[in-house]
Amino acid sequence: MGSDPIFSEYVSATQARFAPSNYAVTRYSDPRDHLPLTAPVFQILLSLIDRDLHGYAIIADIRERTGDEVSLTASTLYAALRRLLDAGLLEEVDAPDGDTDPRRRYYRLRKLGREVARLEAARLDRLTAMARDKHLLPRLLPSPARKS
Amino acid sequence: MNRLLSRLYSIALHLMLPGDSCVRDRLAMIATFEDLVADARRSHGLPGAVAHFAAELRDLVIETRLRSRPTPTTPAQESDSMLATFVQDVRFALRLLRRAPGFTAVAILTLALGIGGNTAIFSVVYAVLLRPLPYADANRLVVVGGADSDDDSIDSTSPYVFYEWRDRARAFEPLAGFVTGQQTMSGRREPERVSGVTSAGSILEVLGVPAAHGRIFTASDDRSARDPVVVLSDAFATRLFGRPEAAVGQSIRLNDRDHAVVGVMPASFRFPDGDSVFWRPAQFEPDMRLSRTEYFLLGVGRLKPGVTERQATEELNSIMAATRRSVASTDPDVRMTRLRESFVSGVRTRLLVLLGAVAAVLLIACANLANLLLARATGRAREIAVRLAIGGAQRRIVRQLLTESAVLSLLGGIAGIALGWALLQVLIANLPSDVSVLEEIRIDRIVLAVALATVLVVGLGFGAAPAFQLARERPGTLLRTGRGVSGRGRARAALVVAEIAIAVVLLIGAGLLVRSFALLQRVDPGIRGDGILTFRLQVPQRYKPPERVRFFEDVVDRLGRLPGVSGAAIVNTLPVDGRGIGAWFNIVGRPTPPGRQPDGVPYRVISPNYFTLVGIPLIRGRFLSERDSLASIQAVVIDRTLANRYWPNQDPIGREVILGAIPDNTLFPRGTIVGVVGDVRQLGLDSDPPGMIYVPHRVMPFWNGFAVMLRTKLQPEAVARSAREQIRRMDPTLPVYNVRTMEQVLSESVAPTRMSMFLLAAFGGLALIMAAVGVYGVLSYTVMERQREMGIRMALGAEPAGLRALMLKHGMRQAVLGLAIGITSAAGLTRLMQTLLFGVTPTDPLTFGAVIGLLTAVSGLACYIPARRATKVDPAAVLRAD
Repeated sequence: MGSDPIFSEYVSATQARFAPSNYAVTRYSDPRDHLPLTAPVFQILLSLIDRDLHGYAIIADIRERTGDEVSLTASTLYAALRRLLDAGLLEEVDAPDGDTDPRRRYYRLRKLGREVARLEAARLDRLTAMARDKHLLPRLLPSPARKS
Repeated sequence: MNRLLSRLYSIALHLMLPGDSCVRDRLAMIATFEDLVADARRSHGLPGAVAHFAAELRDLVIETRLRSRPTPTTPAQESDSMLATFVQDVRFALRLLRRAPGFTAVAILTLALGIGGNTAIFSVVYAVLLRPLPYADANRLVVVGGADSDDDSIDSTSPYVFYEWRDRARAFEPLAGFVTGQQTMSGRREPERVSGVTSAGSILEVLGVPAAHGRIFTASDDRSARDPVVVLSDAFATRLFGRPEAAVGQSIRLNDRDHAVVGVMPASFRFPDGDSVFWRPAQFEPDMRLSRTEYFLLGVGRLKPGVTERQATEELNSIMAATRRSVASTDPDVRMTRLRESFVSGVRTRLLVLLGAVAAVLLIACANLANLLLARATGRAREIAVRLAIGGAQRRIVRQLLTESAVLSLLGGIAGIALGWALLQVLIANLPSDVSVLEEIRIDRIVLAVALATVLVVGLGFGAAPAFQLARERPGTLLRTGRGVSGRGRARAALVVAEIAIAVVLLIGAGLLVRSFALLQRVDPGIRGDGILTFRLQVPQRYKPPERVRFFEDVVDRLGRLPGVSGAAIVNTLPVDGRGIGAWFNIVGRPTPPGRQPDGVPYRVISPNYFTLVGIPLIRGRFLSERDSLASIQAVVIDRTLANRYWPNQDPIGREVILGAIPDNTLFPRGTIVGVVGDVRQLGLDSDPPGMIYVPHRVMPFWNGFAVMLRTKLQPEAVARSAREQIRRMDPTLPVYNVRTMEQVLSESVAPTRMSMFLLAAFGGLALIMAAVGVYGVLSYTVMERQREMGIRMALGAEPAGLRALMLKHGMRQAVLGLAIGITSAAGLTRLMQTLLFGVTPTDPLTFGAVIGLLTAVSGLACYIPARRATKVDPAAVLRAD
């Protein structure tokens, strides 16, 4: 478990909550330090790429995109959100005017978070490319974008 | 259920993410959780929702606690290290429980049954007996009435007396009178009967609850000159007008008068029970306001701060004394009680007996668990010994053992609360509907807190004994023998004795109720109830008295000739359905002494064929006949109880009686007794017949509402349909309501007894099973422990039968001791349930004997099985093992 970077960061963040001095500064200025991401964390970042969402909306969005393959509980989601907030990948924003439930909290991707998500996607892309080279997956048709 | 899960999740969050800094996190998590549970419920129903809840708990534990932490390095993190130990203990406990699924299942089930029963019964007890009433400062609210009857009940009073109290008394902030009743609401679709409260003064002002929309009516609305107004319940207003706020300013027609809706009460408001959907000022006409002979109002008052019930009663009594002098009335003194008391007096004993029973079941469950843990602890003696020997701290070991039992009881508690919720739904569906706070019964924060506290106490309780006993052991002994030393056997024996004693008490209580119920079933109600369909019918005020008589004669005639119906009759109050209305009973030639009030006697207004239709036998004289009303003196009939009370050893036939206040306010001029009929248990099967006088309805033409009874061999629904059709043809504005068979009426009268009998029998059965399991478990364990001894005895030539007898005697000694203690306690305790019993004494020898027999047989069996196993020991194997 200690090798899971997100997790070890969570531990230090939790420690920071208990410790008298507040040293929960973002120690990971290099986005590459966050890789690889766990599936739930990657999905959370993906959900927040194009809009700000509250907790339930994130879970619903992930379920919809993955066809229920990734289904988070509130407990898991908020533990992950806390880690991502502490690490500076996300920030909390005010609820939009239309929301009537004052308990809800909305989250927005920060620049660092977007960069981490992009790097993770690129990493996954490189991995699948390797699988294609070994004919584990069919080769993609050459597209104009790829050619360049 | 969603709300319950949300509450439980919230509690879990408070435990796992404590502190103010996490408030917003917790709120956001609960909001998300609620949405997710709603989703799960939509797609997979209740199991889906519960499964999601379980998944949340699992993830919560994984995310917040069970992921290991780095070793603490600074003193500031000491508390963290305690926590880490705790987490370690919890994980160890969970692993142990998983390794012994049989033990875990039995333990959790035992606890779930105990906690579940307690949670359900306590929810009812809390809602009915403890939770503050939903009125402003409810402790100052009292019910006021006359002290007419011998028991503690509060009797209605007359408008005149009520207004005397209200205008003169200074003890109350306001005082209001009320009467509940049904009114016919017409003018929208079908006419229907709706229940509500009519109030002299303003009952809503006294209760101090503001309207949710519009306004409440005030005492100034209660004047005959004002236009009729009404305040509606939230549900009723929503049903009529779509939205509660839309009702204000509309009008509804009650008993042929338009009432302006001035307000709607909050959804949570109830008075006196959930059946009442409207509240209106009485607006009595002047003559009714001065009436001293019509008794129907109960007072509800708010005591001024600092005024006691006693002072208020004394003040009202002095007002009564003055009134008696000034208007020569014979009204009785005042009786007063707290509002809550008046709501719950009928169910208190029943509920407390049930709570006692279910607590006893929990005690047995604890004793059983303690035994299970003791047995297991002995099995783990070697593990503990090794840990102690290599320097494990005693405190640490005790804490770990306690954590184990806490985890176990928490799991059992969660299962128990779910079970309690289910049991509560069954209970609510079956509680007598006169429990006025029925709608308020639910598992709320307080009930949940009590359940969790019970779980904790139980967990520590049954865990403490084995934990301390084991930790006290000297490592040397344990290591040498591999099992615990003396003393533990005695603890287990004591637990078994206690279990059996409690089970005996419970079973005797249950047995007494079962006997009562069986006797009740065999009671002759005094009528033949089978094949009778009943419903109520009331004509509005626009029918003048002679028309009323003609109309109901017509009803009896036409419905009696419906196909499949062999006869129809009417009566103002159904038999076995309560006392009904009463009147002062005067015997001509036997004047009431001055200053005294005549006796009150209940009467029934009937059609002459009533007796033959419901099967009440004639004892002397004759029944009423159609021609009686033509005579100048009216014919009436009394029952045997009344005849024996007023004419013991004399013939009452031909005597004359007058009902009502002589001389100017009698119900009819004078009646001659023409017959004596059999008694009917009017107050319910468990009460003696009250003594009744029967009057033909033609003699009381002002009477406008009756229960119609039809004797038929057909399906009740079909007959009800054709009767309804027939009434519609006679007057389409009349609602036919309260359609029931007479068998239903009879069964409803024993419903509370049936319910408590059923529950107590269920708890008793549970106790019996648990106690049997306890005896069996302990003796099996003893046999296992003494295997070596048995082997040696057999090797030395002991007969198997002798060994069996030895073990049997060992086990039965505890059973007999438990029985003796149980019977002694039961003899004392069952007296508390005297009021619930019918036809049996609290020390009914038959019940006691049956329970003794049953328990002896069951514990004999529970001892015999392990005792037989003792003789199956192979001596050679035992000796070799040494």
